Amino acid sequence: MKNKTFLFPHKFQKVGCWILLLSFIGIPVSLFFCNVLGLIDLKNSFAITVRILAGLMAIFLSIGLFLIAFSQERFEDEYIGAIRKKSIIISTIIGFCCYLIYSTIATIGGACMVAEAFGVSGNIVDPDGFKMMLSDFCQKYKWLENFSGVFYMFIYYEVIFRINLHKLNKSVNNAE
Amino acid sequence: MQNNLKVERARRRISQQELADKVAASRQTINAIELGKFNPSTVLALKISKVFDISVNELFYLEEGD
Repeated sequence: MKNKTFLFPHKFQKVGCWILLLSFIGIPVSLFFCNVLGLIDLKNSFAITVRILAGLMAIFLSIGLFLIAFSQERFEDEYIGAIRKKSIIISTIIGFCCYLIYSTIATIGGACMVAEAFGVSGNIVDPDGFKMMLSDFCQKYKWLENFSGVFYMFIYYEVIFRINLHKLNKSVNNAE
Repeated sequence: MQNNLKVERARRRISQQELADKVAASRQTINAIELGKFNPSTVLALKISKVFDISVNELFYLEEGD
């Protein structure tokens, strides 16, 4: 009886590792050489180049992580599948908690600001100042919202999965 | 759920790796089953009991509270 795992073959894991390496080393190095060879002028277009570079790195990083996370292990069996399931559940819980904390802070903080701005009179004295304050507040906690995103969930999943695999291998070695 | 896997394996002098190879599982899985950390699927339980030539009930049994 065959169960479909919906995972990529094991060799895709190596491809994912190479893509990760490319995103961390390949892109910045190629950028450096392009600058040295005069193909691009970093002095005049530094901000936009860094933005493009960051975008490219994020794309390659996501693809690499995706391939590593969802490729079969060298020996993929039902216990590894159970560990995968456990890791996915934990990473989803962590992501959800981050989202919940951010939402709570944003809601309570925002509500406090609104209450403070309206005051007793019921009118906002300085609407522009209030908008800026609210925007600053949201920006301050934006990082927390990011941690609940899919990209970070990949990272949580991968870290938890690898830790569990390491523990498993360690327990087997100890049992020898 | 408890099991007699370790006992049966010792009786037949089969290593974890040999059993794992016979049932197309990893050694880690066999070790986890023996330690009671993991309950195998019906298919794997049937495969293991077939290797030992005994029924699944003789190899795996429920404990109080299951």
